[in-house]
Amino acid sequence: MTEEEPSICEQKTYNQIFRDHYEVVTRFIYYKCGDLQQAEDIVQDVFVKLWKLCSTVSFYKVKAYLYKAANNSFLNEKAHEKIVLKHLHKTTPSVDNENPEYLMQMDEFHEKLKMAIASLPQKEREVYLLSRVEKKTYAEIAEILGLGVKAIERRMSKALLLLREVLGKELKF
Amino acid sequence: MPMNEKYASEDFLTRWLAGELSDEELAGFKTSSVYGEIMAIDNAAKTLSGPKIDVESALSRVASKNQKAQKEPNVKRLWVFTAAAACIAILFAGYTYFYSTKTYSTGIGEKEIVLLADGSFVELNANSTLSYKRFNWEEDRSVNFDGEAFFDIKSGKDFTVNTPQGTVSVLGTKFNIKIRKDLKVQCYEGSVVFTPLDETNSSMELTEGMEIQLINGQLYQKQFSQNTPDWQNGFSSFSERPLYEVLDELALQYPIQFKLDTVDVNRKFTGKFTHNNLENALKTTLEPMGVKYHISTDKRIVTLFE
Repeated sequence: MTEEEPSICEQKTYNQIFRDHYEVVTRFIYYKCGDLQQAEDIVQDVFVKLWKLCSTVSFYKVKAYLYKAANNSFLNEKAHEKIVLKHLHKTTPSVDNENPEYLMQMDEFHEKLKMAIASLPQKEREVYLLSRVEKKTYAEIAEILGLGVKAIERRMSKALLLLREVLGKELKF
Repeated sequence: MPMNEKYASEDFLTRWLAGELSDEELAGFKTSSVYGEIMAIDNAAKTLSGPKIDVESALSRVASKNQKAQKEPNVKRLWVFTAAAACIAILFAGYTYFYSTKTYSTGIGEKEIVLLADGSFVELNANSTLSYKRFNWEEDRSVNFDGEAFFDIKSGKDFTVNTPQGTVSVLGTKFNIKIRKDLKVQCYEGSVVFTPLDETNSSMELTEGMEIQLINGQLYQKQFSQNTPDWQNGFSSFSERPLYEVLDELALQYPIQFKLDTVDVNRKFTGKFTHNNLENALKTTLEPMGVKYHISTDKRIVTLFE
């Protein structure tokens, strides 16, 4: 059965696309630039442009288009020298019967972890965050970045090593 | 620790992530401190969540930008179209005003009188074409012409007739030009100057009652005595002209074709034929020459035989 391709020029379809992808694409850009306001601006501009070009973009390729366009806009912006991922939050722990000292240590560790992640090179940082925070598979990340899965695995292992280098001595066993 | 060195390498970790380790390697790795550290970091990282993003407020912001963006280009586009349409209209009007040529032509057996802006008129015989530019007519009276016509030109600036074989220029006069294979100019009033296109002949002035013929590049001059060209009175006349010329002239006035077979068309003919009756015209031209003929039922083809 061949279904007709939905048109992005339809307000309903466009809104659906926005709700489906705006958040993840914005996070993706946030992990690159570390500035949530900038990430939102970039992605909103991409969506404004998508509306203008709605008749030329295929509905089935819109996801790839959004990532690609957002990434290009990001590359055109001046890179931030220092990245601070202040918008990464700790999810409330499901178990709160831990002893207070331990919880405090964990909070401290999380702060250090965020700094360590922020200090990763951009390529490793985005792969690490997409994988561990956004819970995307390596194949999905490869698709977003337009790279092979092997390259993602290599960046990931590099990220793991760098994080261990920085945080290894903080860990007590 | 040498084992830790091995585990803490990019290549090894890449293989681990790709699930390419052997069971043995994996078991060894899991007991190492490298594994423990990585897992501890990872577990902490997995409790992190991305930034909170208000999708709906972002959507309403984008939607309002889209509305603005949509209105503006529409207005701009309309401007562009209006400007383009205006430009085209102005160019077109200018072009027609400055460059348009008015053309009159007559078909087989047709005659037409063309009245020009200055009161001059040109009477076209059959199968003739006259064209001229309307712009600045009083200052630049020149026409392109082919075929045969009688010109009655009011005096004024130079009037020029450009023909494929030369130009005829006058101030104000009456004259007839006949262009076939050869060219004939007859001056009925005033004087005209004929300048052949072929520069081996010099210009020639004709006065009233004078005619010139340009035959095979040679100019011949003689006198004539009619007051008007014969064709204006509804007939064509010939004096010692080859028969083929007569037949060509017949084919201009009547929509007919001749089939010649063995008839000699170089013999000379003197006489005339009328423009308004084919049967009479054929009878008066062919019978004196001793040529028999047959007209097809649709009156299109005339077959000649001895």
